Amino acid sequence: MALKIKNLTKEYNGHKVLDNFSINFDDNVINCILGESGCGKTTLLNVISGLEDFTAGEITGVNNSTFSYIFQETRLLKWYNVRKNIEYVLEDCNIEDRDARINKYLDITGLSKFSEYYPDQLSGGMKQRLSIARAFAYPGEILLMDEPFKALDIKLKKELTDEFIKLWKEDQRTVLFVTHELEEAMMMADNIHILGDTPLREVYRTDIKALKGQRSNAEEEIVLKRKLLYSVFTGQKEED
Amino acid sequence: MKKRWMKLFAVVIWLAIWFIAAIIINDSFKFPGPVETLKALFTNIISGDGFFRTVLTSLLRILLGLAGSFILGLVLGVAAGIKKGFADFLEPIVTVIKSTPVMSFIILAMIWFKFSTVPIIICFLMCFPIIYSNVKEGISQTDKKLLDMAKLYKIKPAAIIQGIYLKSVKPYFYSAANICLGLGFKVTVAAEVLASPDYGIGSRLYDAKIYLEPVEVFAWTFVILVLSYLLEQLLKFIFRDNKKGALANGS
Repeated sequence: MALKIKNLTKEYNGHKVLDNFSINFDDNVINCILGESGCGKTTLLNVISGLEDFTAGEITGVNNSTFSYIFQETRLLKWYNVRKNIEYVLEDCNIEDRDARINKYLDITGLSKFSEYYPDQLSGGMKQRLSIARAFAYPGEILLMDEPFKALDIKLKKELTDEFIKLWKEDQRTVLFVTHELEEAMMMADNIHILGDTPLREVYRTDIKALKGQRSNAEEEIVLKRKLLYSVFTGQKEED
Repeated sequence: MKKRWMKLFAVVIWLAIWFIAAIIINDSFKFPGPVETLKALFTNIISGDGFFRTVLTSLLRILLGLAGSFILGLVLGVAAGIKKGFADFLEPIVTVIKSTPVMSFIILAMIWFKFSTVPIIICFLMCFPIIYSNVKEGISQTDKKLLDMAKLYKIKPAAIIQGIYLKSVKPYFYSAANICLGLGFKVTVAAEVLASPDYGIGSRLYDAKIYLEPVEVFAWTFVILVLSYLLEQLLKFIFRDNKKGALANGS
C-alpha cells in the first residue's frame, strides 16, 4: 500500500513546521524530497517513521511498517566494531542466516576486511558505508534517508550513490530520500518532489524513471534540470 | 614504556625524600624512615600474628562495600537517569547520605550492627552516592540520536540499556569507581579503627595508637597503599580499551 500523507500538521511550541501538508509517495521506488535547508524535510521523515508525533492529519501506508534509516550523521555505536554495529540492529529480527546477511552487505559495501574496526577508526566515507550496510541489512520495508551524503566530497558522494543504487537494485524497497542538492536527487531518484517552505507544500513533482547515473539523453536532462531549478528558486511549477 | 619508567622514577624520588627526611629528623620513633617501616612490615608478616588474615579481612570488607555500592549505584543510577520521577524520589535520601558526616554513620552503625560489618556498611554508604550520581549523569548525557536510532530499528529496551545506556555510562562509572577505590579504603579503615573488630587493618592501626607505635602505623599504611594500587590496576584492566586495528585511510 502506497505511503500517503494527508493534511498533516506538526507544531513545535505553537510554530507550525508542517501545515495541512499532503503528499503521495510511490511504492518500491526511490522517492526524492528536494527542498532547501530548514524547510521541514527532516521533520517530515521523523513524523513518518514515528520518531516524532504529529498534531493533526493522516498518514496511510505505514501501519506496522518497519523502517531503515540512513541518517545525516551516521549514528553508529562507537563502542561496537563494524560487524557488531550491524548485528545490534538485527538482534530482534527474525532472520534465518544473520551472519550470511551481514557478510553480504559488508562485502557489497567493501567493509569486509574492516569488520573488526571501530567507527572512530574509519574514515567519514567508510562510516557512511557502514550506515548504508546497516540500513539494508535491516529488513525495513521503508528506507528513509536524511541527506546522508551531505558532509562528503563530490568524488566520495558519487561512489556512495553508485553503491547505494547497486544495493537498492538488488533489494528494491520504498525509499524516501531527503536532500537539498539537485545533482544528488537527479543521480538517484525515480521521482522528485520539490517542496517549498512556509508553509511546507509540494510545488512540483516529476518522474525521471530510474535513469540513476546512466542518463544518456543530455537534452532531456537539461530540460529536466531547468524545470527543477525553476521550481526550487521560484516555489512554482514551470508551465510546459 | 618510557611513561612507566618515569612513574617508577617519581616513586623512587619520593622514597628518597622520605628517607632523607627521616635522617634529618633523626627520631625513628616519631618519624620512621622507609627502612624501619619495611622492617616492621616484614616482622608483621613473619610473626604469624594473623597478618594475612588481617589484610584479607579488610580487603574483603572493602570489596563487599564497593561491590554493594557499585551494583546498587549502577542499577538505581540507570533507573534514575531514565526516569526523572524516580530520580526525584531518591534525591532526598541521596542528599542525606552525601551530607551526613561519616562519623555519625560509623557511630550509628556501631549501635545497630555487628562491629565486623560496620566497615562494610560505611564503605557502601560513602561510595554509593558517588556511583549513583555519576551513573545518573552518564545516563542523562546519553546521545539522544542513538536512542532514536535504536527506537527506529525497534531494538528491545533491555538491548537499549545494555547496548547504549550502559556503554555511554562506562566512562562516568569508571571515573566514579576510581574515586571510590581510594575513598573505600580510607573510610573502611577508619570504621575499623573506631569499631575495632577482631581482624582488620584499622584494628591494627588502633592497636598502634594504644601502644604508641608510629612505625606500625607507617607499615600498615604502606599495606593499604599497595592494596589500593593493586585494586586500581585491576580496575584499569577491567575497563581497558580493547580496540584494535590501525586507523583506516581513504574511503
